[in-house]
Amino acid sequence: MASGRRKMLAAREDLADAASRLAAEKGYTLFSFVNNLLELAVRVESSGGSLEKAVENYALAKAVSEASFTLVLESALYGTAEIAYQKARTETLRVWYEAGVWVAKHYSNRGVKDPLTAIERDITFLSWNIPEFRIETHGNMASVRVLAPRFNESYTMLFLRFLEGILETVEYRIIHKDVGRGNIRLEAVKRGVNVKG
Amino acid sequence: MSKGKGKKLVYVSESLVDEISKISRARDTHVGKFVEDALRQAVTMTRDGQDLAQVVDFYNVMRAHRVLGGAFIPSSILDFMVENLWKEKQEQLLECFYESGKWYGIYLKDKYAEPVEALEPFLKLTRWELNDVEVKDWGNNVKVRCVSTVLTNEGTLLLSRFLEGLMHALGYKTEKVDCLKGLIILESKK
Repeated sequence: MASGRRKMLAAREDLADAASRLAAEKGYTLFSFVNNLLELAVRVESSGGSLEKAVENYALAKAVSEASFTLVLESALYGTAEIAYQKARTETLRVWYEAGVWVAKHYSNRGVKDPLTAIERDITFLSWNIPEFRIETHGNMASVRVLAPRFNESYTMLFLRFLEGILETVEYRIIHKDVGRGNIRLEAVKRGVNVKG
Repeated sequence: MSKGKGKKLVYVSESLVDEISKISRARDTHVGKFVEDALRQAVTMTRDGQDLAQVVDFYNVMRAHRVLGGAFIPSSILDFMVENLWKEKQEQLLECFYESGKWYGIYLKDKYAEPVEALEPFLKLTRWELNDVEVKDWGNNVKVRCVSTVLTNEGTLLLSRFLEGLMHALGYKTEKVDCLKGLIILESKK
């Protein structure tokens, strides 16, 4: 920790009091507590990040790890998916669909009010390889938009099945699909609701 | 701690204040705002039982994964694909993980003064399938031990190759690898 000469900085009273209590609980002096945290903040901010983003990322990552996501290498992912798709198409599509079902059930059972919004938020956070991923709901309708130029055709079809697994598990029926390599557009309606036209 | 109207004064080391001033100037904000934001985040995290240092480490690790082409998928999908391809494509898969490990090694070497020290938090924070990770560094010798109750045989071998690639990029040679389902002990020497 930084030491040597000290300066005084103004902090909001309630925050300074809370920090003082927490420091005492943890057996630190207020000086070391505040300086430790400011050092961390400086470390993040000076590398172009933000402490707020770091805290947000951490919370999201916890949710994602509970949803049984795992880290893979993008370079290996598309090639592996391609071979699996060519070798055992039906089985591979089934596994991706079931993974979508599993994820949707996990979010629904966590008591999340709007599982689709939570899934969109977490997948967006994770999916650096998907520049655009949106799930929007309007009344009884839901639409999904995926734009990922790095997807190959096989991976696009597999990701589509994953999304279908999610939508169908949260009681949506897909009424329109527009799919090309790296490009998925889905429209869905709540099961039991009739769509005119 | 000195007291003012609605504010309190806290002592901060001078070198830190200088760094905060620099960042605040670059962002066109003021030092008080920086301190307030940091305090607010720290108080919330600490109250929730979280460790802010771990949060910051995690953030840096995730940024590394983003740079190096990490992607997340449901683990059931990965297990299925690897198991399905293992017989025919084992060598390519192992090579791919080894190469990727090398990239991570290069990145760690570039970003951290003590890359071996950074390895343990690096693995702990993002390899959620690992129950335990231990990295022992005796200078010229490094021992990495990973334990997982959920890793498949194939997953264990792939992670082991990834670690070998990483250590090779850090300038170590493999001395010994013990690899059983869910357990990796990798010993490397400079």
